Amino acid sequence: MNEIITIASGTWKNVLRMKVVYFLILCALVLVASAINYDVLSMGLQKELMIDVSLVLNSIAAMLVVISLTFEIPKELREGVASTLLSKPLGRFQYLIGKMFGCIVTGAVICALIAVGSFFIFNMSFGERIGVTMFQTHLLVILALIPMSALGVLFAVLLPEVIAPIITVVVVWFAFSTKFLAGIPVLYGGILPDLDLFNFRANAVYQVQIPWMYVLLVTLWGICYAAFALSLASIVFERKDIK
Amino acid sequence: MEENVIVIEGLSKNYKRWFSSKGTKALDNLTISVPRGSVFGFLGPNGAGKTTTIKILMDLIKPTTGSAFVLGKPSYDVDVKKRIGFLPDSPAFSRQLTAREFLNICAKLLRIPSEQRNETVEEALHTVKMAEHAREKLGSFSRGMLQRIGVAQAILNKPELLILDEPLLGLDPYGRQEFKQIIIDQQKKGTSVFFSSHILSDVEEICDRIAILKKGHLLCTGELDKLLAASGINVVITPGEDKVFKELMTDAEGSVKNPDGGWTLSFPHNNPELLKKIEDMKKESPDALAISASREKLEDFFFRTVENANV
Amino acid sequence: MKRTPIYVIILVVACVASTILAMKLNTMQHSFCPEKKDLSGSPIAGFHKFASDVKWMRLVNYLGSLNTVDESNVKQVAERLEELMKLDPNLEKIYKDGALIMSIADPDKTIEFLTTACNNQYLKNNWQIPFYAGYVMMHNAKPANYEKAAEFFEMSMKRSGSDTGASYVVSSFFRAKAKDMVQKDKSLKGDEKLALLKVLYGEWENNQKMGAEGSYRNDGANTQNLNDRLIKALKDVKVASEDYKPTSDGKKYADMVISKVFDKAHICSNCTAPYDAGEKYCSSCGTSLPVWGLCKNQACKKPLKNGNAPFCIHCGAKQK
Repeated sequence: MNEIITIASGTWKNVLRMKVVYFLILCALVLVASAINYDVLSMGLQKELMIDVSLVLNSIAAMLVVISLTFEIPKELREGVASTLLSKPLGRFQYLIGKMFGCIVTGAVICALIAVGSFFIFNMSFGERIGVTMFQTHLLVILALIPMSALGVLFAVLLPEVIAPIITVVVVWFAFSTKFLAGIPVLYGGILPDLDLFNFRANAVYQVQIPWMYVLLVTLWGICYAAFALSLASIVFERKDIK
Repeated sequence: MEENVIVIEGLSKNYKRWFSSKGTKALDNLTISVPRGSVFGFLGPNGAGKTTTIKILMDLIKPTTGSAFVLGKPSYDVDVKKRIGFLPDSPAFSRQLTAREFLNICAKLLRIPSEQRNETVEEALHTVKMAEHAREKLGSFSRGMLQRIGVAQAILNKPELLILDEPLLGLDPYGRQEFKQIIIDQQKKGTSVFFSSHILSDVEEICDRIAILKKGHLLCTGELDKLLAASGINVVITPGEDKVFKELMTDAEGSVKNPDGGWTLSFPHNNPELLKKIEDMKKESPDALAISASREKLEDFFFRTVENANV
Repeated sequence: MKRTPIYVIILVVACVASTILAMKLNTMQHSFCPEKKDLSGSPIAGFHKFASDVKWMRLVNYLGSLNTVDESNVKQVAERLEELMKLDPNLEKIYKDGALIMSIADPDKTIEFLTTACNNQYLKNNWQIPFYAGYVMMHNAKPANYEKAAEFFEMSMKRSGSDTGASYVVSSFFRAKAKDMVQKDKSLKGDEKLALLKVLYGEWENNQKMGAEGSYRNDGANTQNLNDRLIKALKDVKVASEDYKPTSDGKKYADMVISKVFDKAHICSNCTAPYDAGEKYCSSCGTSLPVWGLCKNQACKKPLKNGNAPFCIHCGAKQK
């Protein structure tokens, strides 16, 4: 476990020390705040718009963190960073899980910053308290990082450096539209992920509360799916030659 | 305790490409062993398979056939890496981390107890003379500085075996000197060193054993002294023995006039007829010439071995 | 140690567990988020709400560029609204602001949209949408379907509950029922006022049958409201106005209603104006009235306070 945390900490330190990350968070918050100006154009929907924009930007930030992971793993393999780390008493599975944890923590920190900033802006703009649903939906965006990061790791290991981020984006993008497969066991939710299970942006806007049992179960699904993707990645990675 | 720190048996590696049945053979039936306590130079021209071998030893590359044992354990054993220090050929580390943070991560991975970790890191930084750069980010380091940090992470765990891939590359003459000293110091502490290098003069200086590879084939391996000693003979001709000189001169690889007016001729050892002729002349006139084994320079030995190899 | 078999076992177990969980979660999701299954299947990474926000603003912009919504552009407006509904069926503004804007140019489509909204689970407590649907059905649809309009108004009333601000919903409901009755019952000869009275009386009868429970109109406030409406309807049927001449059938029916509903209510049978205890003639029309609420003491016979006080304020006699 210590090895995993060590790799994870290296990953999040690496990303969270980039100044550009904070600049992007600031940009995201400016965009959230700008929603208040859309009162006329949206015919009074600026409050709903602000809630939605904050969630959308949070989701995009989560996606970007996952994409950065699909760049980072092949880069580490290519540049020899991975060689150095794997020359230590560290299993390849531990390396992958560490990378995934690092990505989740990085994403969680960034998303949490955006969420807290958005809550503050919302409160200042409308003088309203932050509803439970708003909190839940932001939490679900963060929890979605679990299967998304696992997918990122899988494709980073499975595919060449140039293709991995593209395929990850495409798969994550389409993973929100796999509901039509719901009748096919194993394929639905097992092999193909359903990231729409984490998507309740409309609920935040309409204040429709999500049962906590659902939040718990969807987290469990995320962990199970991550275990699936990571074990698949490990089978491939164990055989991979690290140049 | 095992006699050999590295045992490689019949190791082959074939890099296969996608959509192609043909592959590139990087290693072909390599068999070598590295005795404990030795400094082993692993030599060969580019593409010889040195890095492939080293990465197989570190379980970074999977062999196609054959086996590799490190410190008595199969190379894929994760725990054995606790006892090994490894420096990759072009060390690259997370750019956003400081030198100290990176070494701390390595120390954690090496399972160095937390109470010893800081001390160990500082010691390693001092050894590679990077203590004053400990707080700087690795992204701002030059190639040579990175190489030093690479060495530092390799010696953090006071390893039983140091595996170094081109460790002298990118170091300035001072750096090279310091690095050679580190290797010598490590050897004195009982660490076995296995390293590949192109800088043959340095290898000759610090290694006691070598292996030469070409296109994945092992050309020769053994103790350096024996390999170089067996590389030829010197014949010292007494001044005035011009007849002997003229007779041998034509077959000699090199000739040097001695300060006393005599000559020293050097001959390769791989011509038995010539060697017999010299021995016969020595028997005829024992005072006219003296025969001694010549110690060839590693560089000469290397080029001769590689160029004569039929692979 | 080669770990591949362990990874394969984890892979299979995780895959099975994931699929079971995903299916359960999918069902759960539909229970508290029923609109999910109706959302557009287009792969937009779950950004349906955001896409709907953008499309809504574009629609507002587009509508701003139109002088009016008429036959030339109603199709485009409808298409845009349909797209919006697929992205965010819960967005109330699609129906309340969007659909209504085309109620004149294409009332059928408007009603279609509003009907969808009426069936939307999230909007199930919204009484305005069925009211608008009923309104469009009654006033804009050609031909008007009053029966359907009444159903919408009834839905609206049920949703509004005792919201006194929505009393016009109840008026609309009775009016739609009356119009429906006129349309179906030729014997009424187009007499909407009489039809309204019949509807209200029918409602009163229903209330009597159903008792105090099971009807939206049975709480005290609405019963009083229904009585007030009956009184007004009776007046409309009985009293001539510029555009209405009372009929004998109407008057007969009104008398019947008064006798049934207001036998203890003390209203003038001619003009339906209420009168107090002890009054002999109607203060509104002068009609002779049956006197009520007098002291039982033959020597006194003066009106009791409120007509039903337990003691006479004039002689002090106890009333039974």
